[in-house]
Amino acid sequence: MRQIGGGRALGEALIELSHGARIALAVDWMTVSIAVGLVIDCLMLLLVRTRVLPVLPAEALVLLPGGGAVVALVAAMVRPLPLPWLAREVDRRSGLRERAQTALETLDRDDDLARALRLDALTVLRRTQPLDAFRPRVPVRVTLVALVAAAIVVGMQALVAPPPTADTERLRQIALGEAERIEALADEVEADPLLASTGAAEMAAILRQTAEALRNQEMVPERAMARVAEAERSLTEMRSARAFDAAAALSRMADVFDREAVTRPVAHALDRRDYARAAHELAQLGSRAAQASGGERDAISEALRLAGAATARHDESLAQALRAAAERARLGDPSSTHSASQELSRVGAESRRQETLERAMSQLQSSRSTIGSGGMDSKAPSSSAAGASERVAGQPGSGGQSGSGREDADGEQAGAGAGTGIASNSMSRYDPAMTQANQVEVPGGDFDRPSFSEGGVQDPSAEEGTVTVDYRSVLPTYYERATRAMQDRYVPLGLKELVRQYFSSLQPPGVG
Amino acid sequence: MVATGGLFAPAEALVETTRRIEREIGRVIVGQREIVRAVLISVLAGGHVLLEGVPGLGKTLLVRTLAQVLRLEGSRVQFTPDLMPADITGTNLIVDEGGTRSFRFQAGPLFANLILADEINRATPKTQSALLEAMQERAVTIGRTRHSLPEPFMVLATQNPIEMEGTYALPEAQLDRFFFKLNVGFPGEDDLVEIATRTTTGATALPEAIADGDALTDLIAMARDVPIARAVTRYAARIVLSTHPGGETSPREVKQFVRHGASPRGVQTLVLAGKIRALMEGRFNVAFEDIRAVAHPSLRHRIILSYEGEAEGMTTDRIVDAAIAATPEAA
Repeated sequence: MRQIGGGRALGEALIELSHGARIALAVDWMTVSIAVGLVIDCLMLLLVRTRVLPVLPAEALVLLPGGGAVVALVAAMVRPLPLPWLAREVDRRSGLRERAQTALETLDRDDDLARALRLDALTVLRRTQPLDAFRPRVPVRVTLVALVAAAIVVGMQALVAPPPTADTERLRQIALGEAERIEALADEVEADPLLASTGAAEMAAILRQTAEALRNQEMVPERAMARVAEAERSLTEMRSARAFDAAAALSRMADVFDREAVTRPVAHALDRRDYARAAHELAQLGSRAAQASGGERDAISEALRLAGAATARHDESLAQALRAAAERARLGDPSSTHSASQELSRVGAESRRQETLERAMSQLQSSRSTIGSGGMDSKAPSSSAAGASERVAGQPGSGGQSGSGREDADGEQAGAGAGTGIASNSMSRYDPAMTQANQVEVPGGDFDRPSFSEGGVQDPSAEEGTVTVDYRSVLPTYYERATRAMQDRYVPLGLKELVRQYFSSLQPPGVG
Repeated sequence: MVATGGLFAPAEALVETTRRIEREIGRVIVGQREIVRAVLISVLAGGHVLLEGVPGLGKTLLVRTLAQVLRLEGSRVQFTPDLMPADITGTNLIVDEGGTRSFRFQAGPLFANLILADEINRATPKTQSALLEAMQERAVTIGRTRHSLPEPFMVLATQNPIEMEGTYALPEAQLDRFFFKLNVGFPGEDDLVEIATRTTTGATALPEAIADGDALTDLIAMARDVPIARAVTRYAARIVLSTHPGGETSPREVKQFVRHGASPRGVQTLVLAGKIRALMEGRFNVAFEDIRAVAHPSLRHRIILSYEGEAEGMTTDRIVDAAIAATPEAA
């Protein structure tokens, strides 16, 4: 009888139930661990939102609840379970009304009631299944806390935009830099007196609005780029088809005036795109003709006539004024060129407007590119930023940019091949001194040693699927097109010479 | 109860006897099962009971039935303001036997096993003290002679909560000597119908005697041996501590409305009553629920409300409820 109700049997019965206790403990502790981990995740995300902590990867958020659950599982499996604890838990969970723990405490008693109690407790314990005694129950409140915390974590991760990172901060700086450049360009436009009568105020307003938008935008690259593209569209609508004729007329006029020493000041002013000066020089030309000798007067008259003929195709009004000036200059009228001078001012203003428009569009294009690349590649340098310091107020753009966006009759991009090597996206302005420097840097030696094959021989190193053409068969065509482009479009005189030298260097030996 | 297959006959007999006593009393007393059980617990604990209720609720019948079932000698004393101590304890009478006069002790109604002290609060404090002294000492002293009262000795005192004029409320110290204080409630409709049916016909249920005084004494002794876990004893102690306004775990109601909490007799009563209730429930150990079940009759007369508590209409039963609610089973 003592064996039946003895402490050993009682202990064994309790240990049998301990397997269920471990499972129940594991479920309980794991739930609590997950809940605590998720609550800590919420707090951490809050700190991330307030920039106290850096942005956390999703793995870090899983680590706490997941790791906690694993630790809880291991702890539940290895934790020693004392018999008194087991007895108390069995009593509590199975509703044994303190039978087990009381029986365990009366092992030293040998009276009838104590023995009856032990037998009673032992019988009940042996009839109890481990998972019945310790039915794994997920704590409802803790589970609710865990679910709420999980929802908050998912919501904060999925619905709320991540806080500004180093990349977004850098992007913000880039956008601010671009805004500053666009604003500076707007200032230039407004300050240019030649543009006062050409709707430049509208252009400046568009630029200022864009700059302001870049300053105020949430630093999302897509939004900033969309805003800049919208400004580009607005400026595109402001373009005038006549503006290209104006540029061509001025270019041809410069070419003609460049031939005679007496008219060369006008050509040089046009070359510098100083149209006000050019108009002034042209007005002075009438007085000079009136005071000049007969030969020089004829030369001036002839230059004016040729200029009228050269510009007739592009601007009839200017051509008529030049022709009329030629006639009156030949007669010695000191005010013979006043009308032509006014026409030159008008065409110059028109051309300047187009140039400015192109510059503005180029700037916006550059800004868009910079913001776009800045949002994706943090190490990409901003060409616009690099070029910004090189700008010279009132100077025209590079040759490569001057013809951009317009195609000639053959569908080729105007200005192609006439570039100076200055990046078209950079906002480096045309600078004669810089152009000279670039001319020097052109590897003229290479012109003597062309690297492409001659005589239509297939280059063995040529990539499969490509065709090598004898350059002599295409050179005349390219030279003719370049020459025509230099006649039709405005190209600085220095650059025209450079183009001519380039094609001369490509001529095969023995060809004049 | 899990049958022990006759291996522990005394323990099983104890459980069975308590159940039979309860069942037999129930044959006579209609309803009032909680009161019957509480009285039986008190009897098996050897304690005295204070029954509070309006007249006509069967208090006298309960005592008489209990005496019949337990085959005990019972007596009934109607307390009145002119009742003197000697009227209940007994007195020395001069007797003339063969020309020789001598004093002979004439035992009063206290010399019985089961005393019904009806409307105890109508007697003067002097008489009340005589009764309460006998309850505590289980003996009376007449002159220089101490007379032991018979064993078992139990007093079931009643008091009427209404008609308080001309009564003498029992002092708190004397209330503490009662094991239980029971509030006898008015029976429900079904019980009233049953009472009317039983008492207005010729048939009268006669209870069967289940035990006698010696057996009862053995039961009382054995009941004290019912095992109780330390956690359960501590639980009882913490409940008592929670009835004290200065207790660490005392609830707000206790701190606000209680002047004095239960005495150490409260813990003794809780544990002992818990043991007997466990037996009556067919268990050999005391559970937390046993302590809770006997908490109200054990503690309600041991808690003294403050003036504010009485003014607010607070009752000691609600204080006990609050103390239980504020006391966790696990320490």
